[in-house]
Order: sequence, then structure tokens, then C-alpha cells
Amino acid sequence: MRHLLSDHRPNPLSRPRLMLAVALLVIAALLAGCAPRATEPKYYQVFDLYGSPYERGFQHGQRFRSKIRSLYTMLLTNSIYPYLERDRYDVASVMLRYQNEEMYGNGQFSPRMMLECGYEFLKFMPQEYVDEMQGIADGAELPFDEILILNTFFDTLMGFRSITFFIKLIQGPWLLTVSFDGALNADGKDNDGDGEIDEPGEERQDPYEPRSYATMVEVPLDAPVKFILDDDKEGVNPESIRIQYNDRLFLADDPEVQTRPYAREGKTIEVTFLPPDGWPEASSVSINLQCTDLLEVVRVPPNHPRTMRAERITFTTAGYGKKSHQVPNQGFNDGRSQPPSLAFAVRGSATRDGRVIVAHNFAMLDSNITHKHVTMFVHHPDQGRSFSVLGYPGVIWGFSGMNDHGLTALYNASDTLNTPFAASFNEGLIFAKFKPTGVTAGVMLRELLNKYDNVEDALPYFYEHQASYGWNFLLADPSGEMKVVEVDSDITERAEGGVHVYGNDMDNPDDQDAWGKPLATVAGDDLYVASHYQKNLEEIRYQIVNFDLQPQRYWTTFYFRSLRAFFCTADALRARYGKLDIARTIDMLRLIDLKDVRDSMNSAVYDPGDLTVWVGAGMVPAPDAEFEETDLGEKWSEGGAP
Amino acid sequence: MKAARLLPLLLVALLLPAHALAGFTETLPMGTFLLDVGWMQSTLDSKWDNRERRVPLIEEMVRYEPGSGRQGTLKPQVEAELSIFAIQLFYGITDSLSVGGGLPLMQYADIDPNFGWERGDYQWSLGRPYSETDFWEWAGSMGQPKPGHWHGNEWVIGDVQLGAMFRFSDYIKWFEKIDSGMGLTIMGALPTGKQPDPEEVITAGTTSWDFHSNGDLGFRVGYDKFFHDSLDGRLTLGTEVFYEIFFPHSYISPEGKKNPLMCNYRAFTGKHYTIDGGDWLGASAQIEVVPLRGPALGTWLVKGDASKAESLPPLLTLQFRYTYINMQQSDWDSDSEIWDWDREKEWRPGFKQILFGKATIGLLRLGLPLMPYVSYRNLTWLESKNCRAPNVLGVGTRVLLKFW
Repeated sequence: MRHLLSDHRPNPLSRPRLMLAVALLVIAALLAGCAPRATEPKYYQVFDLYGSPYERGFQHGQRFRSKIRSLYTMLLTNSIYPYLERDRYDVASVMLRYQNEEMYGNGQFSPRMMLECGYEFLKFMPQEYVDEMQGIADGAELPFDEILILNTFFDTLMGFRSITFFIKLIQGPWLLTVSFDGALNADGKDNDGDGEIDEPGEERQDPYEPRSYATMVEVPLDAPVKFILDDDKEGVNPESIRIQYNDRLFLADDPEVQTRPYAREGKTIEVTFLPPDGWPEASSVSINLQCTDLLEVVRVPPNHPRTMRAERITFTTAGYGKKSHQVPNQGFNDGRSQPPSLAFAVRGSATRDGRVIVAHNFAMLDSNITHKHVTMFVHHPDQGRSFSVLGYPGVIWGFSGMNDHGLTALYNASDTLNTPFAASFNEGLIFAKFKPTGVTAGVMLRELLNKYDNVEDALPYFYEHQASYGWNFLLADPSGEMKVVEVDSDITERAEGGVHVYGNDMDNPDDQDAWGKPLATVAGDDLYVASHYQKNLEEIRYQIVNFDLQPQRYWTTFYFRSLRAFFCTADALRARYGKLDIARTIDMLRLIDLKDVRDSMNSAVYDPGDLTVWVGAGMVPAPDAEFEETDLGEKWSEGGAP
Repeated sequence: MKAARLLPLLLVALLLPAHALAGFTETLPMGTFLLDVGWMQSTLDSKWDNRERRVPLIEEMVRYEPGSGRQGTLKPQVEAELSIFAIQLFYGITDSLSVGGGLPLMQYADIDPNFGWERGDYQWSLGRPYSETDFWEWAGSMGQPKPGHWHGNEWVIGDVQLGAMFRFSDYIKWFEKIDSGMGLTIMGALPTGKQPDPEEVITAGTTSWDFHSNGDLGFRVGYDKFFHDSLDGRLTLGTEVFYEIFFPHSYISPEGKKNPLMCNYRAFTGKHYTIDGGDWLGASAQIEVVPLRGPALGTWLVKGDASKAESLPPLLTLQFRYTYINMQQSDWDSDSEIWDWDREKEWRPGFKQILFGKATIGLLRLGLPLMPYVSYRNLTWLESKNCRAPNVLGVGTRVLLKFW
């Protein structure tokens, strides 16, 4: 209301004063407008730790107290615990202890089981690691139990998961046989790779055997493939058939897919498939097959049937001309499956300047969480060698690392039932509880880096210590020595033990497969590894009650993914042989066939000769991040005090 | 007794001389009260993102199956409806200085999350990708209920607003000569509003930060150009610059009591976190027209003197206003830098472009001491950045009162 009633005017302000006041107000506002802009935090961090194990742990805990908590909450509480909780009923159906509602009900199964297993693993940890974990707990002001779980959950998870995978799969449908119509038993060729030609049943693989190479070769272009699928409970659901051939998915109601009852009143079915235009000429062909049973599992929501693992069959068509073991079961990019963890080491003629390079893409579970926590801990211990591990806050270990002698070590999971989790069931049967044994993989890595100078010195360690699970270690040192060590827990105490070592010597029978091919080298100056066994092929054949524990290739969902990643790594190495340097190695890790775009956790490239590491982290997929260089040699040369 | 006191008040009010509303430099005559009772209906279903796109209010939430890719993507299409009474009382200390206070009183808040679902990766363990039902059944088995419709804040007050307006141009003859006015307004909010329930996924608070329509402390300088002579006072052009400050406020972190998987971040954020809302620097331009002055009747309000009625507010006044607000970065501060950024990225520096229209009917010329109005505030028609996009429909009335 502008001067409505009053004519009264007080003494006017002078105009200059007024303008000054307004100007000051505007300036103040503009200055305040220069507030800092929030930026995305740098997720990947490098942190130096000094002193005794406890002191290093304390520094670690104090510095990362918030990140330890967020990793625990977001990864374990929000992601892994709920995931494991679903499997409680499957486990409890054979291990009755876990039916106890008071102890394991109300969402307590996962954390309690993790803690119980953690304390079992603790018995196998040297005291220095216990001290370090205590230091973390004290520094972060967290209970020791939570730190213990963080440091053992990975091994527990893998062992537990293998059991539950297996239980689920043996309750689901199985692929019994694979065969092809057409005159394969009269074509004068060894189609099934058994060394015999045109023997009766040559067109059929019975029983079906998952292979790292072709199931059949020289198949006629118009020969349909036939699968016999069996389920010992409700029967196979014919409507559930999914066949992926290249980039096309064929379902049960597609005309190319035909099903018919085969036996046991239709519980066993036969599936016939031929693509619309037949098979391509002189080609290597892969198809994926999956199905479910007719059961509806209602114990744990959501309701679902039992499923069969996606089986991948590779075969060649007429004119391809190779023997079955010469055709890798490499499959195709199905747009869904992701490569698991893989690694390689190169030297000499493989690299541009002869230097040794070690590279690692680690993938397992990101859940939009772990990539925000990747940390490289650079240890400057009072005793032993200085070393670094690429890991996570709250965790004393990592998935790869290097010490001040250039010894570089890393590992990938390699699913197995030769694990203390299976052993504990064998000992207690239905009264059993998970009682894992062995040294956790992360602590193994730490021991290697802290106590050994080179690959040769480090190898005996594996023979002297039981592994907690199946792991594929890759070791390399500045001399160019490189080895893959495939380990399992050897619960069956086999004569050959649970350790299988091979290297990159193309002429050494120890480094070759059954046909004399190198296990994992393209041309002798490289060595690569993924998440399956190349040498430890019969790691377990064991009967527990009525469970037939089988090698990994029969049941793990990682098997075919890993095979593809393995063969793609070889292809990529072959294409870059002699040209690899750090930049090209990083580029190679970024290849779509080598990186898991959903669960990639970290990427690392090590130069053992220069004691330098480049880390890709902080995003998913990790190798797409800008790799950050750290000169570890410089850090270690600075001495032992912060 | 009560009726006896009300009657004189009303009579006094009837005697008030009044003037047309005058843009950004409006003050009350000395000793005059103005009561403004309004009701606002705010609808909100979108926000402006960092790329100035209108997107759903809550970001998609990708859920992962450990080691098996995406379970799927939760796509909430949140629709919120807030019904608010705004009761404001102003008083003219002098003709040039008015003070006032406002009480936002929430009638209710309705929020519907409308969760949609985009299927994720094929899950071998299920034999299919997760459907939405599958996902919530799974979550339910873990104790995480599906957040549903939320109704709350019934008759809950917001932050009480206090303000003072000083039209300093009254002291400078030059402004009169150019037929203009200029004033400074200072406004502040008392923290009487209610913070959102930390344990709820879908909820709303009633603080200034929650409404995000003004800061905790604001300074406004307004200028109006009148056309009393040339256009018979039927047009007022106004402009205003302002600066709004949000003070840091502390909030309680959830423990996961109601939503164990979706709201359980206390473990790493700490018991409390702080939001320091980014300050605003803004400007408005307004045009106010009087299309219909209306008859000047010699009613009882002016003791039958029709000439006095000529000075009463016109029958119809229309206001159109455009406001641009530059918003600074909001700072979230907890024990977790990662969590802070996940929030801060939703509140990065941005701007609001607001269109506002208001029609006021002055019934005083007809013998009724009321000035009912209807208004509409829109934040969806023009592009904005990093802010919510509510549209607000308001109706209310102003009553002028004078007690002597």
C-alpha cells in the first residue's frame, strides 16, 4: 500500500547512500554466490601403512572408518546377506542345524553363518593378521567381529555358494545326451573326438560331457541337434526351453524348436533344434541351452522352478576340418553373460620392449557398491618385505599385489566342490555345520608378497598350506618367471594334492594338456588365466550320501563364461603379440569380451621391473576408468616412517 | 462476549481506506492489519535434472543380484499432492514499514510412489528375469516392505515466516517524481516445521528446505514503476532481486527400523547428517494491470461517500510474474563422503524459472471488505535445472483491518 494515509515524510536518505547500500547488498550476494561446487569424490584411493601389523591396521581403520562401515552396510547388509538368506532353506534341507529358528531365523542366518565361518578361518591365520584386523577394528571403532566377517566373507561366500549352486542344480533338470541327426556314423570321420571312426553311436555324446572344446565335428549342415533332458521329480517343462544361437533366442513355441516326451511318462523329453537356414558351412557353431522343471519352489519368494545351468555346446560343420580338441568351446557374445575374472602376464617377445607386464580384470560382485571403495594399501612393515595390495577398506588383503622385489601375485576364484564346506557336510551329515578350514585366499596373497622374493621361492608355499576354496593364482616376477597355480582344498587328500602348477613353456609336458597343446600360452612369452581350471580337471569325484560331487565343469555357472573369457584373452594376446606396452595392455583390458560391464570390481596393470602399478577403479566397468599410476618403488624407497 | 469484540473489529475494518495493490513495494498504512488466508494445492510429479530435462522425481534404482547382474530397475513415478493453508498477518508500523508473519499449515500430504519396474538380466536361478512381483516378494521375505501410498502431515505446521518490508523510496523525493517505489524486504523462517520421518522411504517434511520455495533468511530489493498519470494507475511494472540463505540443518539418519534394506544408512553416515542448502540469488519481473476498476459505490464502507470509494482497490487486478532463481550447490555432510555425494549430485547448482499469475478481486468498492484471489505458480513450463517442479494452485482472500 503506497503512501495511503500519511503525508508525513521523515528526513530523506541521500541518494548516494542508498545506491551504496544497494550495491553492497548485490556484491554480498554475488560473493556468496561463489560457493564451492560439490564434486564426485575420488573413489579409488592409495594409502600408506607403516609399522607393526597392529599399527598398520589401526592407521587403516582410523583413516577409512566411514568407508569400512559403508562397505559393510551396502555390500553385506543390503546385498549379500539378503542374497544368502534365500539359500538358507536349501542348505537347511540337508544340514538340519540351520533350521533352528531361534539361532538362524529372522534374518540372522547369513550374518551368523558368516561369523561362525570367520572364526573357523581365523584359526588358520598367522597372528600378525589377527593383530592387523584388531588394529582396524580399534581404529575404526568397530567390533572385531565385523572386521573378521569383512576379511573372511569372500571365502565363506564362495564356499557356501558352491554348495547351494550344486544343491539347486542337482535338484533341477539335467542334460543327458547330445546327438545329431544325419549319417555321422558313416562319414569316415572321428566326429566325437574319441579316436574312433564311425563306431556305433558316434553321432551321440552319451552321457553328455561339458567340454572346453567341441562336442562334435563335421556335422552335416541340415542335421538337427537333439538333446535329451531329464528331471527326476516333476519332469522337465517343455515350455521352458530356451536355445540361443548366435544373437537369436529360440523359445519353445518357435517352429525351429520341437519337443516330445522321451521317457518316464514325459518327465524326460527330447528337444530337436535346427535353425531356419540350417547350419553355416565349414564353421564353428555354439548354442546355449537352458530349461526348467515343472516344480514351483515356494519356500522362498519369489516362487520359481528349478533350473538347469545354461549348457553351451560347440560343434563344427562339414568342411571345417579340425579335430574336436582343436576347436575351443568359445561360444559367442550372447549379450547377457559376462566374462569373469581374468589375468595375464607377458614378457620378452610378447611386449614391445621386452618388459614384464601383469594385468588383471577382477570381477565378482559390484552391486553398485564395491567400485566406490577400491583402495590400494601400500604396506611399509617393520618386518618382511614391503608390499601393496589392491583391496577394500576394512580388508587386510586384496585381489592382487606386488612386493618390493617385484613379485606380483593375483588370484581369481575357480569354483569347486573340493572345499571344506563340502567336507564339513561329509563329517557331520545332517547334523553338520559349515566348518571351513584352510588359509583364506587373501591371506595367502599377503603371505606370498610379504615373505617371498620371486616366483620360484613362492611356489612351495602352496604345497604347505591348505586353500580355503578353489583359486587360480598367477605369479610373475621381474625375471620373467610366471606361473599359474590352481588350488583347491584337497578334502579328498588325492595323491597329486590340491595344487597344480603350470607355466608358459610350450615344450614342457607339465604345461601342456592331454593333446600336447600348451595349457595357457599363445607363444611362450605369455601366460593367461581365467576362472576355471585348465589343469586341475578332475579336482573331485566323491560321493557324500547320495550327492555325487563333481568337477567344476559340470555345475558352475562360471564355467562357460570363463572358457569364453579365457579363449578371448588368447585371441587378444595373439593379435597384440610383440606390441604390448602399458597403454596397449590397458586397452586390451577394456575389450568388451574381457570386461564384466556389471560386476567388474577393479583392474590393475603391474610392471614388476619398475615396481609400478596402474589401477583402473572407481567405476563400472573398472577398466573403463582412467588408470592411475603409482610408483611403488618410490614409495618404498622413502623409508619406513610416514 | 466474543461476539461483542468481533463486531467492532469488523466495523473498523470497513472503515479502512485502501489502495490498489502495488507490486514489490507494497506496505500497509500505519496501524493497519492485513490478514491473508490462502489455501494452496501443490502437485508434484517431476524434477529438472542436471541436463535440464524433466524427469521423474525419484531417480531410478537399479537393483543387483550379487554376481548375476541386474535384478531390474525400480522406476518410481512419484506423484505428490500437498494441501497447505497459509495464514499471514501483516501490520503497518509506519506507512513505509510493515512487518508480518506467516504460518504454513499443512492440511495433508499424499505421496504415491507408483513403482514401475524394468526387467533386468535373465536369472538362471529363477528361470526368468525378475518381475516386479518377484522382486517385491523377494524383498518382502527379507523384511523390506514395498513402500506404498503415504498420507501424513495432517495439520502439521511448517516453518513460521517472519518479515519486514521497508519502502525506503518514500524518503527520496526523486522516486515520487518518477512515479516509482523501491523497498527492501527481509524475511526469516523460524524452525517450527517438521522434518521428514527418517525411517520412511516415501515421506515429506514441512520445513523450508522441504518446500524449497524460500530460504531461512532472505533479502529482497524491489522496484515498482507506476503510471498514475499516464495510465490512470492501471499498470504497474515491477522488478525485484533477492538473495535467500538456507542455514545448515541437522537430520537424523535412519536405522532401518521400517525399511531394513532401503533406509539403513545410519551405520555409515552417523546418527546425524547436515544439509546446508545452497543459497539462492534471484530476480523477478512483474506486470500488474487493472483491467476493471469497477463501480465506486457509496456503500456503508465509505459512509455513503462514493468519491471516497474511488480510492478503494479495483474490482479486478491481474498480476503476471516471471522469476529466475540461481541456486548454489547444496552441501550434505555426514560421516560418509560417498553417501554425501549421492545426495549432493541431486542438488547441484541449478536454476528455477517460475511463472506466476494471480487475479485479485477487490470487493470493497461493492461494500464487501474482502479481496479474494486465485493464483497459479508453475515450474514445469519453462526449463529449470536441479530442482523439483511443483505447480501450485492457490485461492484465498485478504482482509484489511484497522482497530482505531
